[in-house]
Amino acid sequence: MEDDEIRAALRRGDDHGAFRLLLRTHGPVVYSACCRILRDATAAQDVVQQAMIAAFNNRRKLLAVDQIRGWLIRVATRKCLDAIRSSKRTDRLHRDVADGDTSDLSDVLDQLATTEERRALEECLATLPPDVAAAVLMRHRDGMSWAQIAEAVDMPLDTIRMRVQRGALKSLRDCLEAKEVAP
Amino acid sequence: MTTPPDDERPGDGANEWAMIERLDAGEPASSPEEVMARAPYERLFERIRDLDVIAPPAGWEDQAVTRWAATRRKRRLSIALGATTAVALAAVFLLQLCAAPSVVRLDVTWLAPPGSTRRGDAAVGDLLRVRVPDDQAHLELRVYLGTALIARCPGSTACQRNASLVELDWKLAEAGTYQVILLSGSSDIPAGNGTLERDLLDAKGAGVSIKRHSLTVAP
Repeated sequence: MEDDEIRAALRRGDDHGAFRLLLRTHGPVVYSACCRILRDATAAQDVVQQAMIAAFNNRRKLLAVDQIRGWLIRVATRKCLDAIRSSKRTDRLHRDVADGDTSDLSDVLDQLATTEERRALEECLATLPPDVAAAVLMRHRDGMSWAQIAEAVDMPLDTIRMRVQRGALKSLRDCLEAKEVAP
Repeated sequence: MTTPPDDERPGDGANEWAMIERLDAGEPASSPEEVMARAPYERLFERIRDLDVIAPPAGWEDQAVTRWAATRRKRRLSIALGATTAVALAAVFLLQLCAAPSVVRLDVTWLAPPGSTRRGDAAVGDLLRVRVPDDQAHLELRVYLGTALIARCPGSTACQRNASLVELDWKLAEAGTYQVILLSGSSDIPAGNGTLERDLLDAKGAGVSIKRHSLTVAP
């Protein structure tokens, strides 16, 4: 419904209104996805803004894509992973994970009126490599196909599917059990 | 009900993965044990689905709009600059095209003496005929035998100039290689000193356009 309104605004030349509507409708979900990948609220704000602007400027795709939200999440995920690669952030994250340090995420989680179980899951997700965590979320939260996920994380389909199904889900389960939260 | 052997029990290694694959594909559980093994993953998937939406900080939307507006201005400026540059380049190209000197056609032929039935190459006794449209500010025809200047137009009695044509008829009295040179341009043509190479170098140095036609004359 909102997607139709965004497209209608675009077609009548109300770019400003269309962009505002895009941000309001899909911004929080896309921002959530980036926070969970980047584990840094400030970086997530920046990357999500870039992703939303890039997506909005790709007008042809915006008018044609089936579900704007799924497409925006994929665009933003790519940008988040690019940001991590370019800043060599991955190494630091791996060190953080090894040290059990999820302090970057704590800032974000503190804003949420979440249950202990959800917080535990967020912390367990933060122990996964960013691209795998992104894939888990895209699959099990956003209901995307493996083909769409593979494109977003820039990995062969079988590789990312195997990393999620064979590794990440078991890791999440073990992590939750270690936190004494029944998965 | 039979119990599957240890290496096929859901929840063990490869079988756990196969079970997750079936669950992911939406296939039903194949046994009560698989139902039990699936349960923690089903709860995990449910929890992932129920994760909170993290609200962006206040003012985030306005910041994004400001940033978008700035990139839009930049894009429009780039497009405008690109278009202006393209128009300017096209104008320069057209001006150059209009200002370019017209191509001077050098028409060289030879005529056998009246009554001769000879065909083929030029020979001693033939008449060299050169025709050039007279549409350049400065234009000169020269004929060299070997490297020596033997005729020029204007400047030779064999040269005729009318309103639209410069004509030179020259009797080929000696065998050898003749060079018909047409010099043209918008500025003065350097006076030749009688040596082919030197004259061509001077003309080239003065920015004069040079056309050349060689003719071998048999004895």
